[in-house]
Amino acid sequence: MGVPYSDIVRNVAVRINALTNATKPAELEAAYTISPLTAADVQESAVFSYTGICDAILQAEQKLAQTIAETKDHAWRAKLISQTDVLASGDTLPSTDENGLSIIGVYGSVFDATDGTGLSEQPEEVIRRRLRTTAIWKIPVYHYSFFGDSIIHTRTNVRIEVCIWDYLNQQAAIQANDDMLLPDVLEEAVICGAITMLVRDDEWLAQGSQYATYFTDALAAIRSNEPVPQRKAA
Amino acid sequence: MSYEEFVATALQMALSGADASQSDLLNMEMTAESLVSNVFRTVTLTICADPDKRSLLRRSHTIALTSGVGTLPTTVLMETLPGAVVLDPDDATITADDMSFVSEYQDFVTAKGFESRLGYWHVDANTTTGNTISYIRPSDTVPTKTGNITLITVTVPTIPATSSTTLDAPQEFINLALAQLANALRMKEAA
Repeated sequence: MGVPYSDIVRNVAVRINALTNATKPAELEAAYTISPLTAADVQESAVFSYTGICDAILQAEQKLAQTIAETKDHAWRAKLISQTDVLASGDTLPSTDENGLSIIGVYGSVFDATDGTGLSEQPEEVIRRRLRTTAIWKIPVYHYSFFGDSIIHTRTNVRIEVCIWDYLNQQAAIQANDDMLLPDVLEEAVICGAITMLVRDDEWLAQGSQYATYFTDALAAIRSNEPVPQRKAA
Repeated sequence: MSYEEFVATALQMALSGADASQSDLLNMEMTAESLVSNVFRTVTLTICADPDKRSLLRRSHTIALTSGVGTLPTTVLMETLPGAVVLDPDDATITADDMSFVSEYQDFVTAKGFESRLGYWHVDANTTTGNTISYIRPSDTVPTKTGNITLITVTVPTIPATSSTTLDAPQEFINLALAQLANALRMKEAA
């Protein structure tokens, strides 16, 4: 069961006093529980609009996605996973996945494009030896090496597991009130990250700074492949 | 057991006692495959040296001669020739006792001068075309036969042509070869 983006929007909106018609306690609960929220429900703030809040949420999600993608073997890469087009030995490493979306972070596993068997990394010298003397070898091997901007390998074609995050796709996801892309446990991190960015001139600086500390801690935990800390009560 | 199964088994044996997650022996298929030829040769010679086991690898080879000279199969090792037998399928009167292997070329060309009733055969190493066998029939004074002879000797099992091809070798040979290859991978013995 995922967390819809509308939940994140209302969490951010209530903290910056942006919910429409929520000046009295009795109105607050009603305004807060509207689902899904629309632009008309987030018009109380004269500083940040509904779209501005959505953009801040996307930027926070983007940072978290980038950090996850840069952490090799992180379990949450599964939420961002895609694969490249088939690559022959010597092909340049792509910057987009098989659907043309930008790759973020580090490359993941390399696997045979035909039978799905994973390849293991070997020194380029071993692979070069294999490729230059193919006639004498009978036992199939599944080896690869990243050589400069290219990949060399001992199979016919391979694919690489990669992470992607596309701004336009995620923008559409928020507008459609889809479930958040990242794991549910990162909802708090996304909220804090969004609020961190909702500062203008000298307004909200203190609040932004408070949330920034937690967001930074969350990013550091992801990089270390450790559990994301929960925000302590003020 | 297929060729790939043979190599995989040897690799796994080589990992015995090691931490598989940290061993240098992972991904050693190419190294293992490069050692197979020497391992097969070494095990063949080990078996050849044991009179009780020699018959495991004794094979017949039909060799085509032109003017008494033919090419030896590459699976026949020079070290196994002293115990080999040559028969002439075109002359049933020639028995194994009528034929004598002469290792030195000078002795081969002068053998008829010492005992003309016997036939003789000799092998020369030739790195370009393969080792050649020269054959003099008991009734001849020099190599003349054009036709086939049969050479029966301990033979190195053939390395299969593909990874899925079954090894054509007795189980005793395979067991010895697995142990030899595993040890070679661990560098405990030279292959």
